[in-house]
Amino acid sequence: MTSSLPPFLVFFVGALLAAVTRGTVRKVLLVLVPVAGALNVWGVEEGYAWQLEFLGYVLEPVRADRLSLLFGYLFHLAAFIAVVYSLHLKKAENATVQHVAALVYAGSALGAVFAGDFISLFVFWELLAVSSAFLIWSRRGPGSARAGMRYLVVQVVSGVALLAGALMRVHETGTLSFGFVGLDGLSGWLIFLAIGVKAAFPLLHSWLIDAYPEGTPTGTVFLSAFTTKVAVYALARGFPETEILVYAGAAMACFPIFYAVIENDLRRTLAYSMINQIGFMVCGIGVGSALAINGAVAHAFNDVLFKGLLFMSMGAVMHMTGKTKASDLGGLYKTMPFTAVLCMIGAASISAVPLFNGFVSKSMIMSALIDGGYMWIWPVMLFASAGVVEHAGIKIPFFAFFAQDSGIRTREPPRNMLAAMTVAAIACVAIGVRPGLLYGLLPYAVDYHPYDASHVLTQIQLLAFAIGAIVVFQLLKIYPAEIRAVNLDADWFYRRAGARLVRRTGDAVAQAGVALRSAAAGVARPMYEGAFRAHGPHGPLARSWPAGSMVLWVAIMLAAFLLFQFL
Amino acid sequence: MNEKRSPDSLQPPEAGRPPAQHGPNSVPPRWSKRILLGFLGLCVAAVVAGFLADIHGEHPWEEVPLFHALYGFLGISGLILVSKALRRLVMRPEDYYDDE
Repeated sequence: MTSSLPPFLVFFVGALLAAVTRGTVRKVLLVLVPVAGALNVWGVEEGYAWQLEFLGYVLEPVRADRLSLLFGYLFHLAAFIAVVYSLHLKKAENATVQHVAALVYAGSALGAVFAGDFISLFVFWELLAVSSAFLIWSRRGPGSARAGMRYLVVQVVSGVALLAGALMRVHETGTLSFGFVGLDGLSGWLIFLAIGVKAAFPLLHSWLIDAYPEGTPTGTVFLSAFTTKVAVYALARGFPETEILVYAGAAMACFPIFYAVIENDLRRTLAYSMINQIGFMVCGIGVGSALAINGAVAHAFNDVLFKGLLFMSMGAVMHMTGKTKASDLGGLYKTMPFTAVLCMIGAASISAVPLFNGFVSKSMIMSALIDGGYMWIWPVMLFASAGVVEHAGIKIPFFAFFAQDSGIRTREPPRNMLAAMTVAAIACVAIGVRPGLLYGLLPYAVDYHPYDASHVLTQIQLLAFAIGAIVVFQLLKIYPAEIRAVNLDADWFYRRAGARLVRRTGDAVAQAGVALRSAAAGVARPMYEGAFRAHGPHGPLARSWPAGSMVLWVAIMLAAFLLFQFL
Repeated sequence: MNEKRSPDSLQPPEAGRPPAQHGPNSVPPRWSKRILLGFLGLCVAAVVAGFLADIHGEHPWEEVPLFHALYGFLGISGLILVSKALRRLVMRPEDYYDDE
């Protein structure tokens, strides 16, 4: 036990202070929070734990081992970069809400990766969902309002599945501790599903595509760093060596790249690219060897850096021009040369160009696939690697900064944005050149050397000829044009089919109600009319009878009675 | 590299608006040519170096000479063609979800 504070606490206190401060004071505070948090977490040692008893169960809100510490360092670095990137926010951009939500969000992510039991995990899981939704709503358009709500619903459903699975598991095993879970029994599947939603498994992925591009320019940078990486952490903790993850990961790495080719919104293209990258991590976790897990979490670390850098560069373009669609952009390198260079560093990193950080982690996963005997998955992932070059390596920088001149003349983004992007770019190159910086933090001891002549050469061949294919298709003018359009994805099932089903069901129920009412009326009307004929204002039974006729009837009845008495 | 945004046969009528104010290529043709030549040089160098160096792959397919180069080129060609076909299936006008 060290004297360190729980890592999430630093951020939650920071969020409280950010809510009541303004101007320069808040800016200083915002930068200090991740720095103070990082110093704090640096003092946290393996085996650090904070336990408390609750209703007879042992809760463990903080538990540190090498896996959680790696994600802890990563989230501090990501929070620092993203906070610097968002320092310029003004009141008109909902600055207070965004800053507070961002700190709560980052703190929740830290809480989740250090949570030692399912109840703590669930609490942080839901806090992640709620706090991050504000980063989408803060954009304040009707599209963002609806997308944020859809996002929140999906995230909360994931939390409910987690809680249900966790409670069943407590019943089965008697412990709340979050360790290896595995897929035996319904509880394991529920937890798997809950994590799968956050990790954007195929068919559960469309919240990410739907919501991330609707966030604010700065909010999306936070979004890209935390939610999905918490899910990758949870998979690495609960489901290593689960074979289905290899195939799920391969599917995740492949299907988004087709969509990314035809997507016009460049931030949405990056969202597809995110699923593609998480696919590599999920695949590595599925293989489950020490090399594979190391590769998966190293790739998560690198992805936060290069995907953050790409989202920041597109956020800078959006901040300065108000546009993110490839069909509206082009030629921005003339007025945003620094942003263009930083974006290309991110593009080279994600494409796994040697000397950039994507190369040193992705190659671990590729080697682990062969070591693990997944001979048919390896070519699939190699295809997915080549596909990354197409959409993230070439398309993003090319259509924003080069391509045809859109006529837009703008300026470089605010200095804090450039500074944040520069930090991320330096980290990308530093890890690429000195992989030992990252390898030293990985959960298992590393004996892996990415810079082997044969490996570097084959990677350059793959990338160069993949780009060659794009160039040939461009020159032959058969490369798909950028078109203003939406592409249907799995969210169609709830936004269209589901909505239609609900509407049709509603209509059918309403129609059935009308029919039932008219049928009931068909039965009731003759009865009502009969009663009305007899008892209505002019009905024979409602007539007022003269007293004489009454006496006559009594006399007749009496006579009849007497007659029957005689007989 | 020009005419990137020329309407192609897949473009639906809704998307047929004239592009906003698209001028010529943002990169001067002289530079485009230099970049292309430089890139071509890289490709050739990668192939030559591939033959000179001792490539020892981990996967049986890597025994094929220039496997990575071929795979990259054919893979991306396939990716682009399939994506163009995917457009026929999934592309809708930009305001498709606007009536939610």
